[in-house]
Amino acid sequence: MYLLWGAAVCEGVDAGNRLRWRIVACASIFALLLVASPTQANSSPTGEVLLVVDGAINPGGAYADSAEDQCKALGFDMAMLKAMPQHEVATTTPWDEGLRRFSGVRISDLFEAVGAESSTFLARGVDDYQAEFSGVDVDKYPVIVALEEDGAPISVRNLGPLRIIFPFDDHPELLTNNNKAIAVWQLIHMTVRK
Amino acid sequence: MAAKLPGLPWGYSLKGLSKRLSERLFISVSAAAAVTCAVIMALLLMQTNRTRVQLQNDGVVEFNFVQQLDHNFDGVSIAALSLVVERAERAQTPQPLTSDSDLVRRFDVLYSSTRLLGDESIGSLMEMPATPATLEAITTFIAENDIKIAPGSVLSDVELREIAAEGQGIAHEVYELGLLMYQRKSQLRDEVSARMNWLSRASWFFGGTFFIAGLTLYMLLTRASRRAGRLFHQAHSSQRQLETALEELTTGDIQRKSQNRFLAAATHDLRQPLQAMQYYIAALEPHIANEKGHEILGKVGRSTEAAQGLLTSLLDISKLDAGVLEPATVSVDLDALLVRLHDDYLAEAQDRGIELSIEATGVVVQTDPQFLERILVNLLSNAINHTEAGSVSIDVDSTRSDSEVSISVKDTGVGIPEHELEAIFNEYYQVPDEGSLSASDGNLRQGMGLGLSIVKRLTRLIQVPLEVSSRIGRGTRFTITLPVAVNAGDAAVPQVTKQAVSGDGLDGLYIMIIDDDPSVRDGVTTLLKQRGCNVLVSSGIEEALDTLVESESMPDLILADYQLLNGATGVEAIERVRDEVNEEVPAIVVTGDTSPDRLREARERGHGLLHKPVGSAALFEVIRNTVHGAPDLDNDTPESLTNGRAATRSV
Repeated sequence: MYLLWGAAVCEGVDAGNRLRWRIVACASIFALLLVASPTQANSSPTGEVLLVVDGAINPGGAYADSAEDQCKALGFDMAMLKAMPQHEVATTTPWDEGLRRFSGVRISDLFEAVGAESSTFLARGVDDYQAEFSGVDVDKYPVIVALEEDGAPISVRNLGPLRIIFPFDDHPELLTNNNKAIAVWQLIHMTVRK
Repeated sequence: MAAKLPGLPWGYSLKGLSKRLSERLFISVSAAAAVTCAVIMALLLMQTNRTRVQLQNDGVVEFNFVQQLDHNFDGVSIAALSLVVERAERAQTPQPLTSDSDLVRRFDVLYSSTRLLGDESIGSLMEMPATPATLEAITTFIAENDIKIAPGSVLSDVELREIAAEGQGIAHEVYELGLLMYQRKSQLRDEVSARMNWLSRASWFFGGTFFIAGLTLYMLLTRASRRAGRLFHQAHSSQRQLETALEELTTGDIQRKSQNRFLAAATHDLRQPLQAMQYYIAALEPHIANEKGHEILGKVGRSTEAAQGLLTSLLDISKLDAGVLEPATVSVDLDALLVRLHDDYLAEAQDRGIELSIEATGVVVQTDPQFLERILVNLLSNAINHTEAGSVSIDVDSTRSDSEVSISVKDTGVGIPEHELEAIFNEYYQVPDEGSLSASDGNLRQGMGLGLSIVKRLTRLIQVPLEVSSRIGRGTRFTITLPVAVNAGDAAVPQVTKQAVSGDGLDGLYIMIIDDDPSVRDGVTTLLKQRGCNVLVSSGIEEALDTLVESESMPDLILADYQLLNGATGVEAIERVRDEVNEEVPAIVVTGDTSPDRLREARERGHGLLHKPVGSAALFEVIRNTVHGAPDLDNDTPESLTNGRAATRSV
């Protein structure tokens, strides 16, 4: 149910029409959740959808004939995220004790996969926290959506299951108030800006 | 040195005083500004650091923490109530919670958001009095419900309502904490804002003080550097003087210097009566009736002229020792000079029954023409005077070297004993065997032997080697060796004959005369008026200034006697007049004093210099040169050297 907090923005939908927007969003998410076509094993989630990416994206390749292509909202389950190139970031953070090894998908890789038109996006967490992710060169810095912490999945109580992690230790210049604010934990939704 | 400077007028010491005062003021201002700068800088640093620490300790994380905590407690409460409402609507009995259930998820989120409790990231929240109680309530709530709200547990409606009520209560406490924080942050912001205003003003003040400090420091440094420059200059000139003194010590010049002081004084005293004597002789002439008287008067006249020539020689020595003459090396056509020497001295040689042989050779040498002429004139005159029979000749030998030519002045005179060859260049040297000739008035000068000592000085000045060889009874040969001119094309023909003084350049000049001697004043005034000059006459400094004010005109030239009444000097008078008109008016100092220091002083101040007695031709020439500028600024050189020669010849 909590996945409904995530909102999918579809092109061609009047942004002002909030009711219709909600209906479309809900429909798309339920579709993502429930519809699992065997022929589209690569591009559609089969398990619980952990992350929805929408906004200014142009799904192609593996996601080209997604049933929700028209709506341009993509759901990702753990298997789909794991199937992408994994990147490890070992760092301390202001919110965790000691050095942690995080691994997950680089935002640049994720955005390349979904054909994102920019690297700016609205990140939203389970707890309704949201922040505009901008001003970070994701091609230069390996900023990841972490799936695992010290080799194990991350619980909600531990700020999981998905969490944006900056390589603060390797690049101390990243430890700014802005970056602390956009290192969204319990991430469930990314809306790519134009 | 200071004792020899003329007394400074009152204005100078006042200037010096104000200079010293302003320097002290500069130092005080600079020091005060620097100290103020340092104090302000220290305050700025302290206050900036304080603000920095405050801002660091007062981050923005607490806002987010409070907001999220409030929201998450609300979330749990709403989820609990929703469960109650849902059950009522569906008329369900309590079911066990699953991991999917909204309440469990909400509680997990709340749990995760409290993990930072007590962490330093909540910063200033910890300082608030209400915080500990709220934090304890939160901890208790989490600990109690961690067991209740878990997958598998069954919660009654009452329990759910209880959880919702507790959650609401804590959310409210957290909200109040947020309000407190808002107020506190507002106060902090006011404080920081006020301090920033102060810092801004202090920075401006600092900038101003810094500028003043820098400016005064710059001025002080400039002054110090100027003074250092002066000191360096003084040290340099002191060193030069020391070197000169050392050289004088080693060459024996120092002895000559003491003689020179006596000479200068003697010349000064002798010149005045001599001038008078010449006037009286001229005045006496019409009163003498017979031939014998005229003859005697003629001899007296010649004696006077001879004495005058002697004085001129003494003056030459004074000047050479004072170092006021500087050679100017040019290409000199030797032939033109030799021909003129031949012409000038032929008559004198014939009078004495001596053969004079000077040959033209077509050689051009590199030297100072006037110095060279003076050397040759003295050598030639010396040779003629010491030869009773035979010949005097000038030989030019350019065959020994391509770059040098030697000029010898040879006579068949009495000769000089070998052990005295060095001594002949000293002043007052007398050839021992010449006593018989001293009866002749012409030998008065010869007896003094000044000619050769002048030659010695001149050759040293133009750095030309002077050799002498002699055999008793056979004669003497003086040889100087000069460098051959590299570029003989533009050879200068030495101008010995003074330019005929014409009225040009003097007509209409406004000349101020300052002299305490009325006869000199009147004489010069008459001379200048004849030449069409306008003349302002005064006897001293005060009168000169008064005259200046009355006439309301700017003089073109100041002609001042060196020795004025009441110890004032012409140099001082010139300075005062220049100050009055605020213009560097050209000036000439007239002096009977031949002391090297006087000559040097006048020269250093850029004044022209005239020696008493002043001939009208010399006067006009120096005036013209001073007013219109002459190629050779040393007006003194041609005048006295020429006079010296003229005096020699007239004997």
